[in-house]
Amino acid sequence: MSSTTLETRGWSLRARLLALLLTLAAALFGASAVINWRAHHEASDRLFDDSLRESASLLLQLAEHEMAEHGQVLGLELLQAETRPGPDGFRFQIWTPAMQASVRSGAASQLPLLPFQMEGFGWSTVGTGKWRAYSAWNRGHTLQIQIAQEPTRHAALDQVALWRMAGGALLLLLVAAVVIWLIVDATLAPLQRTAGVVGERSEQDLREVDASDAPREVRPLVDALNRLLQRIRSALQTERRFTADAAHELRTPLAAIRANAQVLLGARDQAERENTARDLLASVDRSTRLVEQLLALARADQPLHDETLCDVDIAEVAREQLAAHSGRADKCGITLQGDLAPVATRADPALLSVMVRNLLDNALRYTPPGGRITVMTGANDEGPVLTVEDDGPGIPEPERERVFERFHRLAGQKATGSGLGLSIVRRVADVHGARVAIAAGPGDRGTRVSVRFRQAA
Amino acid sequence: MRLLLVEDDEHLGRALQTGLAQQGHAVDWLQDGVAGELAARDGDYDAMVLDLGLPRQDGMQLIAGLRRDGFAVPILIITARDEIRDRVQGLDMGADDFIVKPFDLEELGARLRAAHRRAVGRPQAAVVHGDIRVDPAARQVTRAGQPVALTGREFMLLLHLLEHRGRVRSRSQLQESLYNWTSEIESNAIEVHVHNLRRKLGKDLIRTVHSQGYVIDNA
Repeated sequence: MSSTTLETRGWSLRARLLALLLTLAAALFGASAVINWRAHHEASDRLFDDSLRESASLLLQLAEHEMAEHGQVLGLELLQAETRPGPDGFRFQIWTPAMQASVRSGAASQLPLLPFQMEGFGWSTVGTGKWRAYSAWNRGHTLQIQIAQEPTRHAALDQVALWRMAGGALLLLLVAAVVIWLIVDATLAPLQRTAGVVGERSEQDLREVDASDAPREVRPLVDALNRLLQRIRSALQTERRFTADAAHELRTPLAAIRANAQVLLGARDQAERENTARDLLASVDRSTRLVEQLLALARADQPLHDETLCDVDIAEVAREQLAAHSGRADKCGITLQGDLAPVATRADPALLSVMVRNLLDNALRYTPPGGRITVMTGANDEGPVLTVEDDGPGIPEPERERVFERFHRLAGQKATGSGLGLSIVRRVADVHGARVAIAAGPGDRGTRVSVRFRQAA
Repeated sequence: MRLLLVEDDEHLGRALQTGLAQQGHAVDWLQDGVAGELAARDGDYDAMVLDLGLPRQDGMQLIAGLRRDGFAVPILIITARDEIRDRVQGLDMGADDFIVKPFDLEELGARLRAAHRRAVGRPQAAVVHGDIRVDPAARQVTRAGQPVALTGREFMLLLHLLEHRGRVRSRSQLQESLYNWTSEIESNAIEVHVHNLRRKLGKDLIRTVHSQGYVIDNA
């Protein structure tokens, strides 16, 4: 099977089975016909030879008798009449040891039909044809008979037998073909039923394919298909849950936008108008950020592609993000500092930036004014490590795993975040084979998030 | 109406507080479930607007706790959960109404009025007392068919007294129904409003009960 046939139409199991079985059947029937024909041919040759020998022996006896009575062989016509109905297609010669032709049939040549010393069957050239010939001595070795007969009639008989046999074989072959066709059809039927069941499925129907009807050979295929369906089902379920969660999370900022717009329309004084407009803008910004975070998460959900991977200096990424967040830190009265040792890992640089940005954003969001945030990069025995520490309120021990869940927010916090930041961090870590852990910060205060990357290859 | 709003989202909460105030209500706004429950038990509210996904205590728990202790004030849920299961659960838990984010402020106001009407056992939208007719939805008052112009606070005071007809309301009760915690109240604010109402609707409408408060007697 070449790959091109696979790409174009594929090969048919049925066609292959039919071709193989029909060829085999044809070959067997053909061989059997040939064997039969040859057996028949041999049998008819033997019959022909037997009758030739009988004629010869009869003629020889008669000739011997003549010789004994008359000293010569007479009564050729008589002899002829004793043996064959007519002279056509039949010759004989009777020789003495001195190679004197005592008598011969009318049309027989004067030369011996067979080499003189030869006894038994042979072929003799008569006119333009090859005739079957036989030669024998009498008991006293006084007379030799040579007899030949044209084989035309018996060949014609063979022809008839041949055709009959071929016809029979063809008919049987036809019957065999029909039976083979039906058998192949019946054998492949469960396969086609299974294919039909799968083929008629709508894209919504991801239930398992029932393999109880399928033959043992098809089971692995059906089982593999079911495993694939199972994976698709669970992926789809995750997707649906995520979409529902996302829609749910968007409702509150949307409600805020709508309410603020209505309040703005009904504003009773300039101050109310201005405050409401500011809140309206903030609500829009929050929705925008939520959408951005959702997109970031969706992107991080894709498997990594080799072409986007390169050796990235984590310290460089951290430096860029520190610079990008310094303005906001200043505004909040938070000290933002880096302790950055160059360390390389193999990563998607864009995703790595998203990760660091979310870690910093989270730290800034939850660290009170006057606080301190430190970003560290470096390597330990296990590989590259990125750490973001803050001296904010910290995350209680039992919550440290749950904060990675999508849309999970810590109780008692003002819900300004999207609830997606750490989910994105975890997801980016996962696709890079890195591990994220949350612990208490220095002096058991605040939060320390550390990401352990794999060693760059 | 005096309303208690419990909503953890800052932008939405502030907008709702201002928006409901624009409709003439006095709104107290709290941002977590525990503080919300304390305020509900403590205050004298006409209705409560409650978000479900609250920090410290979920809105459903809050309702369950309040209702268990016989809290009778109408509760209207505002939530992002729009599945029927959630609505059924919320209503069965003791909520009076359910509105899904994002929603219209006018609709929220109308639902609050309706919930309040059901709570005080008044099927019709308008309150009628003698020749005075008060329409809470349109915030209109007519006397003998003639429209009477009232300020927001005057309107609320009149409605409050009408809804508590035959019962004497103290000055502090009246203040609570008119002002939220953050309002700055003049010490004689209620007297001023009562004076204005008497001037616009007739001096016999509101009776002063000495050292107790005010009352509108049953017609």
